[in-house]
Amino acid sequence: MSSSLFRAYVIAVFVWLISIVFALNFGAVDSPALDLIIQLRLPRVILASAVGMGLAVAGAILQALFSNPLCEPYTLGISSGAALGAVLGGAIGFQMSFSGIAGSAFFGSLLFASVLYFISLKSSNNLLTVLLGGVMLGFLGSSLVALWMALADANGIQGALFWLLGDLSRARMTGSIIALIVISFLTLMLWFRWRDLDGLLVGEEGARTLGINVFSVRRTLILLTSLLVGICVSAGGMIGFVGLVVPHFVRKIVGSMHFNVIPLCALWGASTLTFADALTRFMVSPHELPVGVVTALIGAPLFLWIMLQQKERSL
Amino acid sequence: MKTLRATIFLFFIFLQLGFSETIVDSTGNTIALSTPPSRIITLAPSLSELAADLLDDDIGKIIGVSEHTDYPPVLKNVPSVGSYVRFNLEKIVHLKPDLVIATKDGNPKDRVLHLREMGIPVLVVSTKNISEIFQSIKMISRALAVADRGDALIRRLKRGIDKIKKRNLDKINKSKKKVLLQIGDAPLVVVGNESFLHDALEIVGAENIYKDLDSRYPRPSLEDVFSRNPEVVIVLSMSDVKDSITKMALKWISYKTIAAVKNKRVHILRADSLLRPSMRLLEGLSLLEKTIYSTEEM
Repeated sequence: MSSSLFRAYVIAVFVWLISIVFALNFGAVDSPALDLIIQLRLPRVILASAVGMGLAVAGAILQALFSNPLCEPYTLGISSGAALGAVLGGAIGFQMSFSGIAGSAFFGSLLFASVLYFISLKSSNNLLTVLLGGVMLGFLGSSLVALWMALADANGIQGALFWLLGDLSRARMTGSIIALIVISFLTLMLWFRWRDLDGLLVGEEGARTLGINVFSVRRTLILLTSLLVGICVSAGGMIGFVGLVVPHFVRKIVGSMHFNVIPLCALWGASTLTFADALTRFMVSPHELPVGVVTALIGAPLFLWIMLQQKERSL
Repeated sequence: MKTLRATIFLFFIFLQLGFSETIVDSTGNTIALSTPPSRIITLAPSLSELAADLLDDDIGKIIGVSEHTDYPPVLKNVPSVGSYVRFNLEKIVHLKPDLVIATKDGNPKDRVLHLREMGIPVLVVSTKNISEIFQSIKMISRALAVADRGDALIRRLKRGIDKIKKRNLDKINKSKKKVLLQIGDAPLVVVGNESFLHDALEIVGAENIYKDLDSRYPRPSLEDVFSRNPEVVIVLSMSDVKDSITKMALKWISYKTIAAVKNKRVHILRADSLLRPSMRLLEGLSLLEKTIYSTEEM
């Protein structure tokens, strides 16, 4: 491991630890009791780390899979399935959460993921078809959500509405730990495929000459990533930009080899969301901002900045 | 004298010890209280008003309220725990309440559940219609160990409502005024038959033009309003909302085919007392009555 690579890992771990300390210390109240930190802040820090990790990794995988820098965890429409599940689940009086994780949302995302998987089987893995299919699923899901909102009683959909903008305040200890375990496991499963992911970077033909079974690799990746996005969205709602910006940022530091990109995405994703979630709590206390708003507010200018820097360098 | 005082003291101690209340709230949850709560947080302005009415001199027991709580004015100085749709869990835990009063109509279910999971007793009431408001008063008064005062307030409320009903009886027998109650604009939000505001219209002897819609706050199209042709349009708002309401009311002016517009009977009613289902409801009902039957033009 070269020294610059080693430094990148050390910095990433360090930043993550700092955001954890920051998130545990700052919130809506000053000098809180230990109880409050353990009951409310710790589960949120764990959940934010888990979801941030999952979203950043999912973004990195999808960008490589579709060779499209604009891909993000929500591109494939899985999240719309989750949103639809959450809204309908809430409407039929289903408990919005099981220990902080929206069960009906996860069910919705599974449903959409299987449709997408079916599309990828049917289209014999034509990437464009899968991508467009995913985008269409997304439109279908969000228009059904909008339809429901137009007809339903405003009161009943309020919870779902906040959830749609990203909300980690529902975190409970059990749910957070379950999410962390599942997301870590899926991240590892994806990481083990770093060779295949690198192979995909050189294009379909190139990958084949490297001895990669492109079809089966794609299918596995789509399935794993869909599950990853599903669990992230069910736990934290729609949190934008982490999955788009973090992978680009990491690639700028360590290049595009996935052996390093994935763990670093996991670390930076975790720090980013932990930090952003802490900001939502103390910026306008006693109000709490939706975390998706904060990540997008920070993420959008940052993304532009990185992009413009790249332009300068290429000139 | 001394013994008497001691006896009274002991008696009160006994009362405190004897207090043990088990209440099934409107979510079907059982709340068991062994001492009368002394650190209370209310999660909606209407609930603060109710709790304040019931606590009377003990209003200091309310240690946390939701945003926009301003009545009775003393409560403006009580720490806020955020808005009722997104109250702040950290703030609430930090205040160490021994009772949180929440409403089914607005406080998110999952957050209430979260509070309960942390061992905080939460009493959830429902204030959808007038009879539910009575039940809520009963529940809250029992939880606050002032059941007698609760019953007295309910009697007063019922008497007041009967009085208003009685003086509008003649209108019920003749032709009722067709009223549109509007609470929102773009999209148009009106009052359906499941809201207590619908009950309010019936009490003052008027007819809700959306009495057939089984929902609390439906969003019909403007064309539908034309076809129902209300005789009076009332734009309802909280007292702290300013310009937007005037704009909402002015929008009607160009629709001359609506009877209410033609006869200049589009009114703005800024009435917290009507919009917050609590003891001030009587005051709100009289305001509504006056607005509907005023001959004054806008």
